[in-house]
Amino acid sequence: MSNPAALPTPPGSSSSSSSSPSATNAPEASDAISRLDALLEIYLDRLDRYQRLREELSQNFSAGFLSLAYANRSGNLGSGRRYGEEGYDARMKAGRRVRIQTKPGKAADLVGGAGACRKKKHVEEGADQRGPHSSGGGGGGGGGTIRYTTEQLIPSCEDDAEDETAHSPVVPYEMTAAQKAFISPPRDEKPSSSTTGPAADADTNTNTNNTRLPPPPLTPASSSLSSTQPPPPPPPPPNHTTNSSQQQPRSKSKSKSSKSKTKKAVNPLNWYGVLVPASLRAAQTSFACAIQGPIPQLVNIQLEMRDLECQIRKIRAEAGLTRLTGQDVE
Amino acid sequence: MEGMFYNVNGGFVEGIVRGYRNTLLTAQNYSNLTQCETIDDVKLQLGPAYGDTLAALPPNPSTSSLASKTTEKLVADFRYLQAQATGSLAKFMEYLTYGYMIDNVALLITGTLHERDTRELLERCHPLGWFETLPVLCVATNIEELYNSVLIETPLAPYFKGSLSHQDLDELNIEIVRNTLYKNYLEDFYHFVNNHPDMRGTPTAEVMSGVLEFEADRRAINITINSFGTELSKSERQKLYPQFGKLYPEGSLMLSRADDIESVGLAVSGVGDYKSFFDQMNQSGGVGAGNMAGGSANEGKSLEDLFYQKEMELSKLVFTHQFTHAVIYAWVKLREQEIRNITWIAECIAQNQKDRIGNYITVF
Repeated sequence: MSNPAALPTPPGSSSSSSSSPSATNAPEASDAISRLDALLEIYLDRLDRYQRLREELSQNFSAGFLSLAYANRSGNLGSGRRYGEEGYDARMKAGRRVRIQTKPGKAADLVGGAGACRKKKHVEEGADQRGPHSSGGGGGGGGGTIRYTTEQLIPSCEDDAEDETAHSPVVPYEMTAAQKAFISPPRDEKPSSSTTGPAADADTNTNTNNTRLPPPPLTPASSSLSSTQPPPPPPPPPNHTTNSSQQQPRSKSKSKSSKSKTKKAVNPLNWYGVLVPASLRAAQTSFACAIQGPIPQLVNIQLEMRDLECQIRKIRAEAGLTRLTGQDVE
Repeated sequence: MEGMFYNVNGGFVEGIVRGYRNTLLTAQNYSNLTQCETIDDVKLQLGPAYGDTLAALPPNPSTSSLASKTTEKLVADFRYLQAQATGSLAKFMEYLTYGYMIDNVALLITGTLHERDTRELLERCHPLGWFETLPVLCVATNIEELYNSVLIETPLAPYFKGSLSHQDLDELNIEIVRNTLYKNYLEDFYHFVNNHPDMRGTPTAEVMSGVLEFEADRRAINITINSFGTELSKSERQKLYPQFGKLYPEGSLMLSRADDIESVGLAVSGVGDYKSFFDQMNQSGGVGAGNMAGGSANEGKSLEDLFYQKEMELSKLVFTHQFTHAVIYAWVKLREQEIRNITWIAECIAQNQKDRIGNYITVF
């Protein structure tokens, strides 16, 4: 993942832009500038959240690894033996699965958000194509939005609760009405996104079909929706709820089948015996927390930020503040 | 009187072990180690004690390879001693290796159950616990078969009594088998040092009884604490407690009924040492699930650390006795702790967790 500081933040945002307004169309420029300000505000907010999540993630990981070292020290497995890959079960199944919800639009390359967290839970990228109604990123006005969530397939040792649809609390990318009004004025230069929509879907499919379970086929309804629907104006909030109600039965049936299949030894902790030391449990909890919590949120925020950057660049180009680069035209 | 003829057979080996003991890392060495910035520095600091053993390591080795190389040195030293040992001393040293054999058996059975490539696992077996028929273990699919085809020939066969009732191999049963084996092993070892004609009534019997009782109690307490929240039932748990030690029988009985860490503390309160461990933990506020978690911020020592500390003190005391096999046991324990310390320090350096680096245990 790229360092947020290294991201191309717009240089000298408000002061430089206000100092050199284009002389010809002053009211339009000021409108653009205020939209720009709103966007930058959101961007900074996301940046702040990103940094806090990174902190949380590093705390989770360092606590996890330290607990693991401590468990190794306890010598519970026998002297000189370590809790490592020698205990892996060759039949291991993913304990968490990444769900990717895409919204047709710009082909966003999949960042490997799941790769970093294979330590305990073996996150697999489940290429779960969802309908077009992803809740996030309404303000993009046609930018492709991908949302990552992790779902728990097997009950961990702590919570044997049966809520299969226990998603991480991903903060949806919502904007206030005023912000939306600023950011997405009626714009007509977006006809291409509807044509790239299915392509993007196909792209994500090919990127992620190295999974064990084949991706569930798109229902005809959703696929037709995704191909025909023009890039919507900011989707109304109820979309989210309908979407989640749509996907619930499917995910439930899936996890139920996986549960019956791997009835025994679902918890990887048991690979190392039943009487594992408390520090190993603590390590598992830490790693699981990292996967449940910060990682999907981080990836989502990173995507949001990228989206925002694009918008900022475009608005600046429209206002004549900078030249449109090839990156934005994509 | 009892030491009059000890040196005929055991003097040379005892002398070597005392020499080994003097090369153990001291507090000064450890404080140097904790100043290290990289694993390479650690390697350098270990140069005098470990010599050529670490030379084969690549620059900035992983902590696991560091641990395995330091273990190699221990094994080499042990094998050298074993080659010199005769009579009851040789038998005694064989007994020392049974514990590792049990661990290896558990590793291989678990690997078989997990459909792992067992050749790969064979390399990871502890060299001290190697025996001829170990590779054949990979074919076993249930305990009866395991016993009849493989283990009947090994020294571990007698320890299987009591664990043959379990037919299927799953994680829980393997854990039970492993702990039953270990319990039987400890009891047998205890019986051996107290009844063998060469050792009965000698300092060996006296000293070894002490350390084995401690080991038995520690196992019982650890099993109890680790079993909270698992599927191991109380009656099964009770069968895993060794039937000797300072806690046996009253403390064991109370342990078998314990539901939480407080009742464990109550169960062991009859023994002064253990009581003080739990008191210290209460003071440091580390009681509960986090009592052995390394991630918590409390500076107080965990129960495991306290047990290790006690074990080290006992092992150090063993060297004050003369004419006894027990020095070998003590030396092995001290070396194992040394390896754990080195690994911990290296781990802290690698993970940049310098504030917890002082959690090593040293008695010299």
